[in-house]
Amino acid sequence: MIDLRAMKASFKQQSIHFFVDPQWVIPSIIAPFIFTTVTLFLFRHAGGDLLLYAVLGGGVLGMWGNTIHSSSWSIGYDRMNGTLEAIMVTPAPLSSVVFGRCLWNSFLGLLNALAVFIVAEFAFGIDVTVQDPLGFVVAMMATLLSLSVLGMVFGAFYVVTRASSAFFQILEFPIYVLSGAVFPLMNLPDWSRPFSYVIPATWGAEALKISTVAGHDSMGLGYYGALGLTGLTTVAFLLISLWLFTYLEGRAKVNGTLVRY
Amino acid sequence: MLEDITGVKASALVAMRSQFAVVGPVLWLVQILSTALFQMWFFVLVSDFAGDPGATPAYVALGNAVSALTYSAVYGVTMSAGAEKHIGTMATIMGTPTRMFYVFLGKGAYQSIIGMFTVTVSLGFASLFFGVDLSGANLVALAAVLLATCFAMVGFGMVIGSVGVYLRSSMILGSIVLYLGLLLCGVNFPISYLPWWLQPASYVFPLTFGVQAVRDVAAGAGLAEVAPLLAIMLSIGAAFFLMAYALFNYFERLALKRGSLDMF
Amino acid sequence: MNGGETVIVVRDLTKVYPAAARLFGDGGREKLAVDHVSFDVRRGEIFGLLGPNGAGKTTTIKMLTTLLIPTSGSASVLGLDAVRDPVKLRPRINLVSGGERGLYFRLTGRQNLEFFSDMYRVPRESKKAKIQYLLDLVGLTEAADVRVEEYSRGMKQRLHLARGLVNDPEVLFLDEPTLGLDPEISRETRALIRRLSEEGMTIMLTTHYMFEADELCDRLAIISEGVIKAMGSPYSMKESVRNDSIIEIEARELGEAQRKELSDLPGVSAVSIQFLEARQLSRIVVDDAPALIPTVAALLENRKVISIRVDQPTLEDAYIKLVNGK
Repeated sequence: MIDLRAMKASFKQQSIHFFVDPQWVIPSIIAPFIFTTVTLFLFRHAGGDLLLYAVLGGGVLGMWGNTIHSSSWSIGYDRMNGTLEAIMVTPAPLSSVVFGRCLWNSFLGLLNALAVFIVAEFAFGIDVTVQDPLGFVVAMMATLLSLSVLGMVFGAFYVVTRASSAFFQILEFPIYVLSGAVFPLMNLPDWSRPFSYVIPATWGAEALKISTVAGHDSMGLGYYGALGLTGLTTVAFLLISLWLFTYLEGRAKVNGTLVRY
Repeated sequence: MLEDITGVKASALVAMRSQFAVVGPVLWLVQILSTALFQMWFFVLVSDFAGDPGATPAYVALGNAVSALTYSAVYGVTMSAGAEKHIGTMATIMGTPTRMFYVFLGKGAYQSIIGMFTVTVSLGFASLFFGVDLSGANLVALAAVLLATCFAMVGFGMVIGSVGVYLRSSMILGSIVLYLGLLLCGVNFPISYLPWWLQPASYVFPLTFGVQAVRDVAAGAGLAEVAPLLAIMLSIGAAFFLMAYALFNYFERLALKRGSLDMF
Repeated sequence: MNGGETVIVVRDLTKVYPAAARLFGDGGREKLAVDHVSFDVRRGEIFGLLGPNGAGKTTTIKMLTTLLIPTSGSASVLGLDAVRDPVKLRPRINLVSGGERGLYFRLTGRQNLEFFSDMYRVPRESKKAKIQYLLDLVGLTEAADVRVEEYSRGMKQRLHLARGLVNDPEVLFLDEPTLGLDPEISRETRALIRRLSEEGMTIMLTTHYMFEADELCDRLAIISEGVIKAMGSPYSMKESVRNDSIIEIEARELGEAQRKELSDLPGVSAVSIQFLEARQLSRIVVDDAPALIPTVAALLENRKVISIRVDQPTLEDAYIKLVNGK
């Protein structure tokens, strides 16, 4: 069940935290920003579409990096703060609280995308021209939503055990690799493709590239195919996360681990 | 002096116990190793796709293997100040006779062990999976270079960590430094690729010298040939430790004046 | 104020914490925290759960507030099962745990209340006024827009209370509401709790302060090692020691050995020793204090006794007899 009011309240709460001390966004966006900038340096001699590829992929990685740090930290922060129980005793579903925060944090990941665009435009002289502006915006929003939902899945695990932070760190970089955001998926070994295909970011990045880079369609799906798969994987993860929250909250309440940080 | 060593040991022990109180050794190991592996793999894939002869996949893999030291030696040490404030133990520690410098030295000692382990395994990954050829490397020289790099980087981490006694920002600085090395230290591409005005910044980071020294050893250089780089790293490291000692004292006094020990 | 209706019904409630799961090695033993506890709370009363640290008070309250699932037994609040009906129950109750944690320290007091008001779906039209009323009620009007990290301990506790009232709960659970507070703030907190009860709210609180339980509670249960040792009004508890008298000894160098020796004397029900700065205060619950004083004095002749006197039994003595007595 999604409680829109709780989502809105936690979105607002997370934004207040950001504006009170904006420097705290740095740990979440620095990794993808640096990764993308390094990628730009490595691609610089190739020029043209390859650089644009890197810029778009970097934007997706930026959103992902911020989402995973903050979705896991969201519950971790509540544990540390002692507010996890205070939230769980309210009628608001915890999943909605986490979703609101993930949405804000993915949105904040757009800052990373913006930073990457600025570096690309001014430091590397890349002409970031979007072929299909509306398609680009829709794809960006869909990717943002999909990453937020993925963040919820991770957030759910953090309810039951604080050791989940280790899982998140384990999963952050694999998604950088498996999403094929800054290089074609075909460059990855065959055995890794199924993992790539279940990640919404894979399809979101593809839709972004199709709407930006003329003639790009590496998987032969077209824009609507890629967008559709983004939506499909997002819905699947949303359902998984809602179930996970119910199940894992129950586990936490049996084990009595809500207060431990 | 003896009491200070006791403080160093106690701090290192606490660091180790806290680490394994949250995640067990197996999960922690998986976390450390998968981070190193996937980061390396990411840049290898990018380099392979880019096809730049100046930054081949093996070049990138070796650089990333050495940079695995940063996570423990710099980030791990830097984060300690923020962590102590988080938990609320900073003020308690300050009230003891043990100076903050020695507390962090203990954490640095613990993180050094972790760092050396991680970099050894990362070099193994680089050699096994990503085409790095270490068959001609002088192992004594390699060990010396890695130890010197670790020494200098822990000193660097302590300088940054000292800020955390006074300000909230050490965790942020730690995050920046953690990843900036990938861009500035010749890890993924030669420093000459950077704009001329940015290149001097590379030499502030001990990692720059460490990466170069490891590349030289992998190419067949012996201890004598890397001695100048070793000397630089040891000197820089010593300077960082001295700076850290002074800074910890300074920031301790400032924090006590401002009352920022509990503010996180 | 005691109504007739029962709003909390607890029957054979038990909680065993599982051993921690580990991939390798032993994660420790299971822990029996609450052992077949049963009690009722009537509408409008202040019901206390009194016991030492680790007695099972917080565990019990968490099971009632849907934060912990019991191992066995049942707990219902306002006719709703705390395990099966958490969604229906939560809008009607609230829990104040207190302490330094439990608030968003980077937000202001007002922002904290706004957030929790939304969590409780407080009607939008009345939310702002409600928050202002609560801030005024707990004396945080001036500090409403200051970040919580700058609040004193007492201010944080008051904000906790305000947060606990944001949804006008029918039942308010308070876990150690005055723990760590100075006497003045504690007094104000207790006055507020009393006022809320007079206005019809049912309150269940946990505490290990005897005087607080004595002063506030209409009824209380004494819990120790997960088991309820006694239940009743503070008056009836004190009645249980009415025929006892107390020998109070102030001395130096009293320890466990002396406590044991004193416990073994005939007619002694319980002995407590409180360790103060440079001395100890011991209270002996006995059926005939004046008769036993010579024996006690002889027993302690090698200890540095400052004073020995006879006193009237208090709730604390009843508690000691019930929890530690023979």
